[in-house]
Amino acid sequence: MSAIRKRRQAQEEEDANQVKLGPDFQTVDCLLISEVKVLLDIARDRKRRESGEGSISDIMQKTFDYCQQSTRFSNKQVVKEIRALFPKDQFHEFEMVQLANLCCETAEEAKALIPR
Amino acid sequence: MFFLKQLSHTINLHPQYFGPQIRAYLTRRLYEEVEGTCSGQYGYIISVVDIVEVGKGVLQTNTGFAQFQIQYKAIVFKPFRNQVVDGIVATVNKIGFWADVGPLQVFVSSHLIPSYLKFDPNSNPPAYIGDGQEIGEASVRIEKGEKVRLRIVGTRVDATEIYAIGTIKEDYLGPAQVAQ
Repeated sequence: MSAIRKRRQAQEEEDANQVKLGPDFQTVDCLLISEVKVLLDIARDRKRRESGEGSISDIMQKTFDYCQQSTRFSNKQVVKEIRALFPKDQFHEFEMVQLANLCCETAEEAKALIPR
Repeated sequence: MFFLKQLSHTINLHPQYFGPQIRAYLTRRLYEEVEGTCSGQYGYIISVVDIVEVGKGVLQTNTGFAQFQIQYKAIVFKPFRNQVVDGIVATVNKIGFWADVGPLQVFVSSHLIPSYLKFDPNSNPPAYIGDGQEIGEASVRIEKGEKVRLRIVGTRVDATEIYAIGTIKEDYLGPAQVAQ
């Protein structure tokens, strides 16, 4: 019973506006959508090489299609340089990745969508 | 939001697989068992990226199976409350619409859709159409296949499923304005 209450409390604390990601994810590396696409490309090739006709799971296919449509940077070099653009001290990694994923045009838009 | 997280998985291996190919078999079993699953705690596990460590197999005295603790890195997707994401509309209905954000389906209720977007049941496909808003030739529409920017308002986790609801009733949210 207390385990359920603890889990529920942990969930209520999670809030992207204040970058509260819960104990499991607070210190974990975040990934840009373009980076995910690159990684999934590699995984698909590996799978195709190893098992020949093997198909990938639904979730992976769905995610791959989503990344394909929402990725903003098609060039692998560009994706690598993006992380270098942001100064490390000012932003939490989560905010930096959000900024790159959403690509806001104005500073007000960025402030409205990613408060902290 | 996609994360690269290190996780641990236990595999019980039948003695018939003890042999020179044991490592390859374990990695294949790991991919099969873990990729494409969803847990409430870690979100959707999309793909295994790297195997950090395969522990020493411990023989179970009663069954004869060997138990391996495998540490691996994987891409996981977990939605957070108040996070803004880009999604693709999947289904449109009178009560709202569903958008796909990666592996997750987010529901936006009609109460959280701004009043300038009205549901048009006669159009094919069904869509929410903005009146008085003209961008180029076509007016703003929310229909299947359109990109939409939404904010996740709440998430609910079961053991193996995550449900989320979202809103577009805020500044800078809604159908994609500029072609990328």
